Amino acid sequence: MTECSASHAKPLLAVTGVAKAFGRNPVLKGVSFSLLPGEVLALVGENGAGKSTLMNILSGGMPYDAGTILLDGNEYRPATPSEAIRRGVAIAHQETAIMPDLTVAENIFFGREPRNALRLIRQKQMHLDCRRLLADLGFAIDPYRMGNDLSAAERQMVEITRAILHEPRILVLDEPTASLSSQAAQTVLDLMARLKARGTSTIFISHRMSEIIDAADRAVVLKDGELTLEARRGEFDRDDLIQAMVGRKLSNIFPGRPVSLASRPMVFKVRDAGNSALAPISFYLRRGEVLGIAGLEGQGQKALARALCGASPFTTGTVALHGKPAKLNSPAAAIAAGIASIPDDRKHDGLALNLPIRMNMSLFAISEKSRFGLLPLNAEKQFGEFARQRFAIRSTDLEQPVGQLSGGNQQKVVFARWLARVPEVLVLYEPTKGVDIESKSEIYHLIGELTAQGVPVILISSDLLELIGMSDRILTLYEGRISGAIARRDFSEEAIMAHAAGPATKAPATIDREAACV
Amino acid sequence: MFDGSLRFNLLLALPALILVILLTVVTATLSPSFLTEANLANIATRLLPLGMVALGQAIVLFAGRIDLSVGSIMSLSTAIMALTSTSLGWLSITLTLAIGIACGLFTATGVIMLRINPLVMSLATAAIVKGVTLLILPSPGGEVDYALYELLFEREQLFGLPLLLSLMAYAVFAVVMGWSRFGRSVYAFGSDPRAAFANGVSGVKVDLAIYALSGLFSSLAGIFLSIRILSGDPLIGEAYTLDAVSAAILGGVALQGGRGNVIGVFLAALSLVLVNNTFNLLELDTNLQAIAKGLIFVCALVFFMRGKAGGEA
Repeated sequence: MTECSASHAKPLLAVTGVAKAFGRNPVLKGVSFSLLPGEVLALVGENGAGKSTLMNILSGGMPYDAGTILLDGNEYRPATPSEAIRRGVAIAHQETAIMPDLTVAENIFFGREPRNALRLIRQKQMHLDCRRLLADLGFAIDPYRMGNDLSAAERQMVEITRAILHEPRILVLDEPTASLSSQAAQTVLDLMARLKARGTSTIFISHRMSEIIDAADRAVVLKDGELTLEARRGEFDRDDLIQAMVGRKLSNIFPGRPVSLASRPMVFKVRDAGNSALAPISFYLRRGEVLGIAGLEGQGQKALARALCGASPFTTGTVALHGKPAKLNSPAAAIAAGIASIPDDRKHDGLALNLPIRMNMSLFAISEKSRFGLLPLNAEKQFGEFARQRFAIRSTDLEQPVGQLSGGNQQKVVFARWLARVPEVLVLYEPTKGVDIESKSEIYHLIGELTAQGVPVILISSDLLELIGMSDRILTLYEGRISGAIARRDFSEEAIMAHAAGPATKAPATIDREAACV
Repeated sequence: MFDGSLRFNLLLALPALILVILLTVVTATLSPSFLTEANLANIATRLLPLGMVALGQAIVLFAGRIDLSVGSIMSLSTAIMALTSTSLGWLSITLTLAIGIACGLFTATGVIMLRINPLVMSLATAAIVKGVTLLILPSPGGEVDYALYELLFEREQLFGLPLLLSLMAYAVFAVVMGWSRFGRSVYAFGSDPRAAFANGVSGVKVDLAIYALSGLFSSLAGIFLSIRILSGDPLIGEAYTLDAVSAAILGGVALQGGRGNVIGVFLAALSLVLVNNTFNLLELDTNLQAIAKGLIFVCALVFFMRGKAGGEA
């Protein structure tokens, strides 16, 4: 307090030597950083680096063991989320807390509803206020929609709106753009800029390097509970961030792709296949090819994934595998045909979270290795241990419930299942959503190995970096139709976004004839 | 079919309303005594205890919990009334209500502190309460102050105090559940406890409140019942447990929590009373009545499950 340092602004938040351990396991080992008024600070790090713990401490979710946090020069040690909010710190969690049977407005205004003289909630007023608020923020959501009716992106927007309604001095956004298409993500980034203009500070967690570089005034990188990089805008680039996060270069993240696949046989053909959510579409896959599917949020990507894995089958057209017609009218039929699919929502669609890794891994192996309908425990354990090492799944042992693993490791368990049986076609839907960069890289190399064995892969993703790094060819979906096809030599974020935004007047001319299946 | 908010959607009350109309028309046609003042007053009288206990159950179900001890708490309440009403007067009603609330809080404590499944915990409470009841009143008997009977049931009319009390309770809780922050917390908790917690809802408070209310309404039901029969009966409440759940489900309340409104529950409770009345007036076997009620329960479950599935597709 005696003197002001060279920086003329006094920090709004000063974190000094904050440490936190769970049992004997230290998660934060003395982290120090500061946040200026109106500053946008990116917090970067692998899953498990301590970001979430730090966010939880700031938002009153858990106490810290050592160190000090000063908010405006006063000690800041919130015991509950509501105390944090009172002090002006609001968080929008990545795992959104949307109540399914309440409307959007009821969710956003929960606990802060406008009330009349009898202390009864003014429903209509609240929904009107909410409509204005959402429009002001640039989110196109009807306030009367029910929570259970919202897409992941819309849930994220509701979560952010709820945090902003507190008019916080510090807004904490935990991976706000992870579930958003580039366009929706841009809305959120614009919003951060507007809040900044109003003097609100933002701490945001992100795995998307480009938005960190574009939107953050400063970035701090956490690795294993320690700060490994702190840099101002313009003083760091993508490679610096990745190096600080995992200690390796971007070029090592993706496996190399073969130069040409044109001579390879077509293994998988989909012709004029459609259903209520998909216009009849046609595409093919060559042996060992990775076909990327891009598009803005909700343009039929999920419908395609669900149709290919038999969950909501195609109602028209044909699917052929190795020249023979394949019926994909139920998940069981798709699995029998050898279509392996990895869902985006592994918690709901893919894994039995309460069961140990061992049992989760052997779900598909059961039919092949079982004798008299029983699965020998020994075989199960052998397979599990082999897979655990092969995929570098970080866990205490095979008996650890899958629910306790990190997102990246959970996803590796899902992949490991298919090791029991090499699939004919692998369908991936947002395979690295919420996965740290190291696990991502491991997953990418795994996909590379499978394609080297000849397995064709359909990669449906909203991560442009991933699509460009992994695909041999990219199709874009728009309103359930294929709106563009891009060959590897023409890959760029701009090219993908241009096709993804719909069939523009000149689009047909730019569709690559070789890349499209015509 | 059930779009939008399922708390305010009156369509949920439609099946119960249809059943009420159907039973009224059929029974009025087949039995001349149905529309007499005495019979209508009888319906209002019988609606009072079921209405109360169903309202409590519905509130518990809104929060995604269940209370299978309501019938036992009713029986206990009749026993306490029968043993104390003549000596303690009005105080005995206060005592009975306090004990009813205590029973509910006991269930809540097990659910909160010991994390016992609410269904199992409330069954355990039911067993304990039933045991206590049989200890203090092994067989039907005792005496309830006749003045209370005079006050409530003597004037046999449809629009008397019993119907008024039912309507008032439902009107108050229609507003409380629909438009108060407490009501919203209950629905939010039933909708998704984890999300509700993240939004500042205290699950402990919700559990305490809903089970206390359920205990309160169960003992109210027991008090009204004991006044009507002017005595206590250690087993009289048994059938009300299923009837209460049944009325809630038929009224459009989701077993999973978060959905339904009390208007539907009121009509559903009325329809169950009408089923009783119909069977009595038409002199049908009482065992058939149990079968009919069970079937209505199943039909209601299936009907509303379809509605829910449609909403989620």
